[in-house]
Amino acid sequence: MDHRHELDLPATAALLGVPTQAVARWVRKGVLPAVTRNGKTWFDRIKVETWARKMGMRVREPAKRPQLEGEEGSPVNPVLAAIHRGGLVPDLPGGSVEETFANLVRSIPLPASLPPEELEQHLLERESLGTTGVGDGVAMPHPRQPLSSHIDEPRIYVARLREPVGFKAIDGQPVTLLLLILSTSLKNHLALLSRVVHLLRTPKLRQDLEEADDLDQLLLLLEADLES
Amino acid sequence: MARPFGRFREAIGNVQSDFAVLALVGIIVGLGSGVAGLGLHIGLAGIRPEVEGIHDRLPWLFPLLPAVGALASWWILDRLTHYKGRGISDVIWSAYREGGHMPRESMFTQMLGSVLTVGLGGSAGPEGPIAFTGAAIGSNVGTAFRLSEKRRTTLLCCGVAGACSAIFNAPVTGMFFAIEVVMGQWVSTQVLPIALSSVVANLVALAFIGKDQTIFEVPVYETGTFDLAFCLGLALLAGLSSFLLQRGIHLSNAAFKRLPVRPWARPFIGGLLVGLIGIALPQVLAEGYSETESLLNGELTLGLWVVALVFVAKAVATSLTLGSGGCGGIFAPTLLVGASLGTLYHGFLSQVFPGAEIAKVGAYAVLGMAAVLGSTLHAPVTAIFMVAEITGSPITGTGDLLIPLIVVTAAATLVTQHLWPGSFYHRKLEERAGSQGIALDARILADLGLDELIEPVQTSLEEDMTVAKAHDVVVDCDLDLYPVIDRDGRYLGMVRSLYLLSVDRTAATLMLVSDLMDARWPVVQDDARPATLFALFEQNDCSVAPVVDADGKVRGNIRAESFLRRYHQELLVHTAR
Repeated sequence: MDHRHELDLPATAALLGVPTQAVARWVRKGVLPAVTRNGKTWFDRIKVETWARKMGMRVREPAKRPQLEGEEGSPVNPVLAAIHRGGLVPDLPGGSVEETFANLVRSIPLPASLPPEELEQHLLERESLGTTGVGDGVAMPHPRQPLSSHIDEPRIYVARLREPVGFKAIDGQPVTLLLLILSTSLKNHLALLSRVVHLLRTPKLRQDLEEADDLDQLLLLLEADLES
Repeated sequence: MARPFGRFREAIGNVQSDFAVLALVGIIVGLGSGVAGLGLHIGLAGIRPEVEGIHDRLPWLFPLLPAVGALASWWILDRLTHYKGRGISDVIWSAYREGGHMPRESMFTQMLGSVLTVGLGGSAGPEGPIAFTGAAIGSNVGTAFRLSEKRRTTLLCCGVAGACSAIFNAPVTGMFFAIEVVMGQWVSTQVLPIALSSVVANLVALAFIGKDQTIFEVPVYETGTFDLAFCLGLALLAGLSSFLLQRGIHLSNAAFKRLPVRPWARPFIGGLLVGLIGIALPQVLAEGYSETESLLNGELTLGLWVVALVFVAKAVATSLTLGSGGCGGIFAPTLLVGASLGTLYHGFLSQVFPGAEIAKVGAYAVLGMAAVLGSTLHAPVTAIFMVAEITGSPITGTGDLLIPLIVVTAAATLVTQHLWPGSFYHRKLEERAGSQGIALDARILADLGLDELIEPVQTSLEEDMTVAKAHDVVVDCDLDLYPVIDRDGRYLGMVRSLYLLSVDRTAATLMLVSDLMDARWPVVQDDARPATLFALFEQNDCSVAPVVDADGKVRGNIRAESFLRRYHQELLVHTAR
């Protein structure tokens, strides 16, 4: 027998998006096809999906593990985690907003499904609606829609500009620091944005963003200063 | 349990085709219930001559026998089993609500009980108990094979069909009784296993009892157009009699419950009263088959007045026997009540319309029997087939009696339905279910556990938290409502995130979460029945309610939206074919 597509009870419950008790009851009643081997219940994924369609239920992708946790399971600041997944561009050339974006999207690694031109287009579209220059020499460019079809988890890229660029920022100051925010959902976009704003208000943390030599040092500095 | 059987059992359970499994196991159930039917038949046949012997030698002892029988069967049922189930209504309950589960000892307790109650003269039939026994056999075979509840419920119906088929020598009746009364719906995949079981049980019984054994030997009757018209009057009377009989059992039951005596004394008193009636009218004792048969043959040796007395006395004796807790069925008594009603009606007709061409009196007895049976069970199809089968005629051989038979049974059922909705069995069922009812809706809600509906709340706010601090929490969690708890973690009320966020930064540092909290938000106790949730959401016009345990701790939320989604899923799963 082919056991490759077999699921156990919790996996089936997750697939159907119902509590495990419900799946257990459906098996007990004999309405959901299952087999028993050595006293344990197994489900054929294909059969379960066919059955779910018949019942008008939606089949869910297996839930992804929430990634906002450190290695020992301690919670890590989501901004740090996002910067860790993104990166640092220490010296970004460009004289105008357009040039800066063109250089930025080509100096960071992007998933194959997301060509740099497309991201550039997204960023320019957002910028045309209103500046992302939040003042104090910082801009936070981001696409208008979450990128959940391209990336699994939010990323932040920190870029220092070679020369200041006029971003029509709210305080009129030219921008020297870019934080490119790529989110996967509206919810984590809001959470990240509000945390980043909070972070920038603290002069010490702002200084870390400006001065760290590389990504590892930046993360270490931010972590240390966030705790104090 | 031996391992080879365990393997075999797993293999059986893993066969995906319901039909293959049920056909195989249905035959086993048919064998078992056939043997049970045979056992009851032999038991009754063995005890009757003894009882009649006592009657001849010690007539003064006579009224005591039904009392002793009822008491003994009460003792058996009370001592040998904790299961409260007693009759067909409990079989239906098990099929509807308990996934077809019945305890093991039910396979013999009712059988012993009914041999004692009916064998010693209690006015009841052996069919209820044997159907119950058959159901228990089907259920326990299903459990032994660890079959799913759906399959086990079908086996339970197989058992009922087999038992009825064996005891009445009526395979079609067995099938229809199981489908019409117990299952309550027609599911084509389940019909065949039930039919198989019925046939197998019938063959088992026939092999021992003999081929041409029918309960009643009845000649073929001719009927005319007049009879068809007169049928309507009979239907009206039969519906009324059925209503009065059921009402009588109901009242007698209520009266016996109020009697200030120990529980064991009730069946004893009931049996004693029946015995006293039996001194004057021995026809009303036991299941009354021989009396019924002579009526069906139109033999009126004692005259119409005696028939009228039997009609009333049988109804009273049955009410006393069943109402006091004796062990037996309502099937056989309705046959005698119906047959005597038909006979009386014929007598009335021949007085009022002396010139009219009406059928023989026996034909009316047959019609009355079918009408009262059908309207008591609220199962006209079962009654029609039953009468056709037990009167010894091949299905169509009832001659042209078949047409009035159908008309009178259907019409009588209509009358009773109007007077007292719900069959004899469903009445009891509804009493047991209480306010929940037995509709599909109630069954779904009874299945859903509250635990399945609770969505855990990761975040609650403390009452003395400032709104500013709450802002930070709210930004991270995507919820519209948060439970507010005190320092010991006990639930206090709910707060809307909208209210929290609409407070500006400066004010937020001064305000506390408890200032914005709604303490009168509806709360669900964690032992509440899901059936109450609809009313809760509707009455309070809310879409989320916190679930709180006995210590006042929040266990989570229930959202109306996900509750409805789960309910709808269960509805589809329940009704899927």
